[in-house]
Amino acid sequence: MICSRLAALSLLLLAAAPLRAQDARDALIHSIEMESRVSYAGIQTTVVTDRGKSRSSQQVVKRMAPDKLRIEYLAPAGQRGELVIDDGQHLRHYIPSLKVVEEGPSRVQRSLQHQQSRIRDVRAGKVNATLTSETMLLGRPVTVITIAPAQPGRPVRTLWLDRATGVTLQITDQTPGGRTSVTSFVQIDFVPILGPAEFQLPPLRGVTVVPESLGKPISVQRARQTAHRLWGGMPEPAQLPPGFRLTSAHQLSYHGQPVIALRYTRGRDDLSLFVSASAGEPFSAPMQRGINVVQHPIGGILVTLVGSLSPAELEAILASLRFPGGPGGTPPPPASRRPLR
Amino acid sequence: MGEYLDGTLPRRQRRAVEAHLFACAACRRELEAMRRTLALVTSLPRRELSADFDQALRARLTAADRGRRANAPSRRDGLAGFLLPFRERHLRAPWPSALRRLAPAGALAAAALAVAVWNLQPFPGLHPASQRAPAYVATLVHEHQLLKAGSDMNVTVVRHNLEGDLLGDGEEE
Repeated sequence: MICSRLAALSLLLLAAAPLRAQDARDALIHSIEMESRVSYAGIQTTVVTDRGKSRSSQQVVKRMAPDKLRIEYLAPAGQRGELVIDDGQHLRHYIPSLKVVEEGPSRVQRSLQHQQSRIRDVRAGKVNATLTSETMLLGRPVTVITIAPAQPGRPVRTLWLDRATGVTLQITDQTPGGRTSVTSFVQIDFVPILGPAEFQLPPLRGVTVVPESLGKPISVQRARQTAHRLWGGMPEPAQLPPGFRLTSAHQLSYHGQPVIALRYTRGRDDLSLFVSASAGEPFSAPMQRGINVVQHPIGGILVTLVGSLSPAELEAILASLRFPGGPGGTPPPPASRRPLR
Repeated sequence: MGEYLDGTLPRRQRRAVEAHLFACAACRRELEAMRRTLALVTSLPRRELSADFDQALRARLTAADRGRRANAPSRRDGLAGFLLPFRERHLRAPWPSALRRLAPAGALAAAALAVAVWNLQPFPGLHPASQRAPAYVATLVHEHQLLKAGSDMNVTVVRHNLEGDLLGDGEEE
């Protein structure tokens, strides 16, 4: 009797699984199709947690159909006033603290250009999505979907999709390396009053326009794995001035060559450790007020320290570097290197 | 910039220009505009010159120069007089090969570029050492500043607000 009930339950579950996957795919396709049709304005929070340390931001997000996006940071204090504007042609990020505008091609436009191919991928089952639940968020019915990564090392994503508009009200990324990022609306208006002027940068005096940042955040574990694969290990300082903590890791690309960065902070003091396999010359100089640089080739890699510490302190940190992945904490042997331009 | 385009700039100066170009979109655009202009001019059909063209041109230039000298400031005429020897030297200096036929447009482009470079200080309070830094170091300093300003948070926020990135078009890691 029990066996037959269990078998019936298993059959029901087996039959339900494809349905739930189909429901998830339908919700995703609805969300993608609505991307260029919905306008909204709201307040959003983002919390990134890695190695037990959390950082958060709060921003006003405005989207005007079909292809305009504006993000204005309210917090943290260091980011307040920063503005991201995508006008459908360019994405510009104004950073008042640096008097810099980062400029790159429109990301919204790129997203819209790939709309049909993304729908095809979802229909073809190339996106491993499952319906987790149907619930309420901000007083609105939402469909919760989990997307399993297609490749190892990538994050598991959970999306809270507004059932009526398809807008993602909350998103959670959980990487195998332990980095978690959660972005959620705390307030949203689907009938906003928006004008084209809000999607143009106001006239800014004395700013420099630079290409958009080349880096992307990764988990510290991922940084170590990548460095181990590329260079046999990630050099990390055995000695740091008191109070400094490893807070984040990043992957960059310079002329097609990977660069891994570890970032250490102590209050307002900071230190970035960059590692690449490129050939470079020893370099040490103050770059500008509050920023010093020390660079040395070690074994087969090039290590560059950039930070607010004095050149002597940077040299001491460089001298204390250890290679956890290398035998006896030694640097890897020289590899074939390309000179840096 | 002309020497950079001609490939005749010394190695160290070339690196300094590249370091600046890497961090300065405005100068890259300017350089690209100069490249396009050069390509356009060099693609124009070539015309054969008459046998006495060179001689006739020199004669006309000499006559024009004589006329100018008659009205030119003397060395006692303040700033204009002070600049006279420099002006004469530069008038005699040979043009870069590719720019020889492009003097008026080239002069305008060079002036515009000079103004752009003058106005575009890479970062406030930039130390002169950064101008000598290799391009790689200059880039890392820029990245360090962006990370300090919280650009990694911004990457996450922007990705979380783009539908295309939700399915992994530009995923982290």
